[in-house]
Amino acid sequence: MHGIEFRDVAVRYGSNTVLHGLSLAIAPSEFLALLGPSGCGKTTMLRVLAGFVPYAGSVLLDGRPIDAVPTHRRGIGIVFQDYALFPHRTVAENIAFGLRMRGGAAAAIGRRVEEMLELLRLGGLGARYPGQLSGGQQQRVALARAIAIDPPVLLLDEPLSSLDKKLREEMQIELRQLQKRVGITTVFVTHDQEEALAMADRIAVMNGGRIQQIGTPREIYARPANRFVADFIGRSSLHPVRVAGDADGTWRCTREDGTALRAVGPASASPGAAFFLSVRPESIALAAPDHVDPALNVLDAVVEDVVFQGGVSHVRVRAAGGALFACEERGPGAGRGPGERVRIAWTPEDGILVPE
Amino acid sequence: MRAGQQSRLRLATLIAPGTLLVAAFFGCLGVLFVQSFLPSAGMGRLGDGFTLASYAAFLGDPFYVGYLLRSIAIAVYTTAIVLVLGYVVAYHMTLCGRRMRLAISIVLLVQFFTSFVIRTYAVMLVLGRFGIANRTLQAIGLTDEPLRLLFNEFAVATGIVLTAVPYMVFPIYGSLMAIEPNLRAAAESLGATRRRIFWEVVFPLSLPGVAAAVVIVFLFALTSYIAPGLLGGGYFDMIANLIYDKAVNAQDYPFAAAAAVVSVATTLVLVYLMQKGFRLAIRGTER
Repeated sequence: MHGIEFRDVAVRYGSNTVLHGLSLAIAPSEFLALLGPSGCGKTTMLRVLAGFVPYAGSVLLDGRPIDAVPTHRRGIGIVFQDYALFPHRTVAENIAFGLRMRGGAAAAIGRRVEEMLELLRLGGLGARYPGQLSGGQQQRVALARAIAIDPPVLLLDEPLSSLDKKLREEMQIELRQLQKRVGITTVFVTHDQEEALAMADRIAVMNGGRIQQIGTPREIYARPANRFVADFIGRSSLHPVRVAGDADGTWRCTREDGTALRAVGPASASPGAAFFLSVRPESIALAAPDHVDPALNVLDAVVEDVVFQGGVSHVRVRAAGGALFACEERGPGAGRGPGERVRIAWTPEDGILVPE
Repeated sequence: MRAGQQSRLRLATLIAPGTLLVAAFFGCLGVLFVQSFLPSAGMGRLGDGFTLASYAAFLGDPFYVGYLLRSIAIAVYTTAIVLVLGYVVAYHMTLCGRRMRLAISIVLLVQFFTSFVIRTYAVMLVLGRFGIANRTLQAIGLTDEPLRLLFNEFAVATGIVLTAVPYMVFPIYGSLMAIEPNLRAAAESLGATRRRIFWEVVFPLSLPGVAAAVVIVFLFALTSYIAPGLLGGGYFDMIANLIYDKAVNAQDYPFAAAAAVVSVATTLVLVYLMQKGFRLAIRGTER
């Protein structure tokens, strides 16, 4: 199994810098998701790894630089967003393509193709042309073709984005199981955070050509490193606050309107420092207007709107002072309506101070 | 009801001009076909009755059939030459910068929209006794005397090749541009060298454009009239020149018509065979 390392990799197109000197290590057999909005540089990372674009810095495979190795000798498996199956070749010929380029014996290639067809449940489709397959089948052929050459790394460029929701969720599970079974180091580019959270061992959140945070899905979600990550991953109410002092392992801070709250944050924070307070909707409890609990942050609020979605209702409330908070209520709900007076409450540990 | 009538009327006005054109075309061909079976009464007059005499006169004389065979031969090899030249130009256009692509397009389009006579005359200027070709050859000392480059098969073939290139370039360029760039990237990532990417992916996928362009250029070459007329100077006539000569100079309409019908029939068979061949080669490339 093979590890990858990016060392200070930068990509510029003219005066436009797409990647700002990124460093990143990917462990053998790891499934890493590069997550970010379009234009954040995540696809460029893949293109660097594949050798499609010139770059500064170094890429290492198992500790050895591969910068001088051209794409066709890097042997990296890629599944493209549009699959890029050869339309004039049958499924079997598509899967055999990389093996033929390596010049194996016909019998060995045939055996490997059969193996791939079976691994990806494509039995009986070997003689079809890509145009005769469904989206999900094309996707599996693209995977089979990429894995057939037994690459050290598998790159997936938004491979599920053109499938419909149901099929996409099936393929997420299938892809994940396949990756674990084959044990291949995988880099997965996506703009879909649910996909990244569901599939990846670790996620690198990218924005503006920089890695904003790298960590397990749980870390990224529970401890966002900055405002961008808190905002981009999941839903979050974000409000500018200033640190006022510390209190029993949490930070006392104040909103612009003077509301005092407690939250957890970096140990390096000091009184007067500006942060954003991030609270997840599921951490906020809606309570009666007379609810009091000194252990919690409690604010008076008025319901703005309610979106009922079956198992969960999304409730948006406006707290005294004007700040909006997104909350969630599980179950059939209390049937709240706009204008209703409530109190919102959350534990200090669920409020996270993140830098800009 | 009214709306239905109106749209039907609109449809009719849209279809009418095309229908008229096609009808006129097939009407003329029909007249030609009928005339080819009439006896000639000399001096451009047609006799009554039905005869195969004109067909016998054309097909029975190797001298006349030679025009057709010679035309097919020159059309085949000029098409092959134009295919190579045109493919290289089209392929280059997909790789070069935007300015270069524009420059090539302009040169080809100017050529394309210039009258055949002028284009052919330009070739005459190049190949003439005192043309650029001869002067260059003399300047670099390859020959002392000017070579006879005009009024022979070489001149006719050169003229056809040079005037036919745009017909080859644009369809091929179109199908090359339609190839998903990711297909090349995929082939490269799977270990294909540039050469193999071309022969395994790019070339097969450009075949629909090649097929269209080859048929166009082949017909263009086969039916050449001005190129042999000006560049052959009577020393290398093709089938169209024979038909013109028989119809206009000898005023033997039935013979000209029979020669034309045989040519059209032969062409149809050849194009059909070409299409069949290409369809076999292309199988699977259509999505």
